[in-house]
Amino acid sequence: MSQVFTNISLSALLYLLIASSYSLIYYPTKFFHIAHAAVVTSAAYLVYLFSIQLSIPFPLAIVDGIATAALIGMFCELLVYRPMRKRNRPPLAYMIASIGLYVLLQNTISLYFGDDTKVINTAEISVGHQIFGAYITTIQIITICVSLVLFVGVNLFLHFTATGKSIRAVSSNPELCNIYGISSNKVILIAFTLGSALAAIAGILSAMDTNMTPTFGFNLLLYGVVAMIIGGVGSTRGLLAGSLLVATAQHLAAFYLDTKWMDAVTYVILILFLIWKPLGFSGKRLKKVEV
Amino acid sequence: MKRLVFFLISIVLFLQTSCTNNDRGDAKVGILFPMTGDAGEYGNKGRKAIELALEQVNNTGGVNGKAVEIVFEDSKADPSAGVTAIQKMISIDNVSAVVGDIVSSVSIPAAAVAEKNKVVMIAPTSSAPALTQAGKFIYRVWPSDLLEGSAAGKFAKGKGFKKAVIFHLNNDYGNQIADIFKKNFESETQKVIGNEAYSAKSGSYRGMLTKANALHPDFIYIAGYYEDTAQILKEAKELGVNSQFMGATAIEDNKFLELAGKSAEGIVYPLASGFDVNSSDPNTKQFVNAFEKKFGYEPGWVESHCYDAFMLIANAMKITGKTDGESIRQYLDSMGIYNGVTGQIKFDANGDVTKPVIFKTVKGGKFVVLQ
Repeated sequence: MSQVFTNISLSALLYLLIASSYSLIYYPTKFFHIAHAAVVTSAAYLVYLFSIQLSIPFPLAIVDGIATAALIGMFCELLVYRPMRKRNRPPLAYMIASIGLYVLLQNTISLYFGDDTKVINTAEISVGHQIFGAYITTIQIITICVSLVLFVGVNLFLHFTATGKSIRAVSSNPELCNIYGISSNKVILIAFTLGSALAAIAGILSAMDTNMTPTFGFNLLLYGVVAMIIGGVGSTRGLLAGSLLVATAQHLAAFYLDTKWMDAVTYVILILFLIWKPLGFSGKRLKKVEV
Repeated sequence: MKRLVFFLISIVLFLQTSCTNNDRGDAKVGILFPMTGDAGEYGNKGRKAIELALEQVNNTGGVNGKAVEIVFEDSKADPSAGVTAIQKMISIDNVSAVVGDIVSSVSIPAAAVAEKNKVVMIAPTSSAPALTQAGKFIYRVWPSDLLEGSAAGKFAKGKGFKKAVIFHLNNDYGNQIADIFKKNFESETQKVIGNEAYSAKSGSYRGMLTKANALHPDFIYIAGYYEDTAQILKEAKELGVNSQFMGATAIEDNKFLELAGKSAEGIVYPLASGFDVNSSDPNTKQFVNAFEKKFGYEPGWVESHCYDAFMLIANAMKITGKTDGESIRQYLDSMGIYNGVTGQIKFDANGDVTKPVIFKTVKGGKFVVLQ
């Protein structure tokens, strides 16, 4: 069972990182930025491009990959969402635009790199470290640590820095923020940049562990979004609980039922939550500032 | 005026269908290949092989002293076009037998037409398991995908493995191959203790491997494609799984070695013997030389299997001297082993070819024959 526990921790923390990155963008914008999945994927492919095709040293390639992926997120906001906001498009239009963006970005990756599995972790495959009877590889330990640190970091950032507080302020009421002199456009752009950078890190870590195809980011994002929804939007503890619940359900389903039920179980939980607890674990609505 | 001409042509064509002669005295063989469309390239390769085979048959006396005729139809690799084409060949051209199709998606519906009309059909390169149950008149010279499943089961049984786990793709191919493995492996002391279906795009198989490893199997059979097999092997190594692994024929791909790296070492997989252009068999040598002389390039797996399929029919008609479906079927069922250019051919009760299977493994980063 210790191996199952390790597997759950690893998946949960990866979902947590994705959910954090996604909620950072979702809080202030309130729409499903599907193209986030393409940011996850493109970060990993950019590292492949930089380190394997252009022979840039690996650590530098990772930094470049994260920076470029963050830029892609920024461009999504600057070139697509911001002009739409200016013209007051209905909420559904954003989601459709973001699906379009996702398809565009994903196909670009497919065309350039091909649809077959690519490897960025060129280290020789070897038996993992044994801890309490469970096997875990170095990259998996790194994933767990990095996710934890970033999760704590994001929460500290949101609660104790001026920029973080303004992201929360815009989440509550963008118009009031504008009146008080906080530019909601600027804050949203910052949220996109940071969220995309976090997503990039998650994508690179995942690809280093289990390799990649041009669509791998989408599955990852789906689990992250489900975790965010069942955790309750806007709640830190909720994100943690949501990610843990999704990962636990998946791995216990694989262990006691059959591997093919892993995805089904995830969505059953999502549906149950949507019916009985639509606001998630935290059970609270986002606080609105009353004027 | 145009309409009238069109109408008259239709009438003539219609009348023609009703007054063709129904005796199958002439040895006519229908060829159903995709000549255009996605698989057109295969059809054109196959056509060359058929032309060579026809020339050789007719140069050696044909059937009952008369030259064998062939009728080509284009299936476009499209099931509905294929069905129309085989219906036309059987009811208008009165062919004695059909060689086709190259692609399984056409062979399966076309087989139903051939079976209904009691016309023998030999599919040269279709591997879909569904063709096995297509009927008494349906044969193929390319083994069914399931052959490797049963070979794998027998191998594990023969080597004395006690507890096997199956990982298979959650589709028709994977489910059937897992069943057939189980059937061929299990006995009093040898059991399949775990059977996991997975999707090819899962990304990570750690959950599945953790579950399997807790059962302590000594043998794990992966019925999948090369990319997912490579990923499973990589994660198995990381998780410290040390069972004997067996894969599917599909893993024989250099990309597999690249993805799985060191974790591929020692995996065993079955390979049904087929066409070998460098074979020392005199039959094969003669075919390769004649083909190269006529068309200027070395024949491959399509050409060789089409050649064998046609030659089997020609042979049946030559030896029995009869050209009706029933006689050809009886001959094919009872002929024993035929030495084709693609190796030894023998049909089982379902009309599937049974071919010797060899086992290969990965050693030092290369695919080698298992000693």
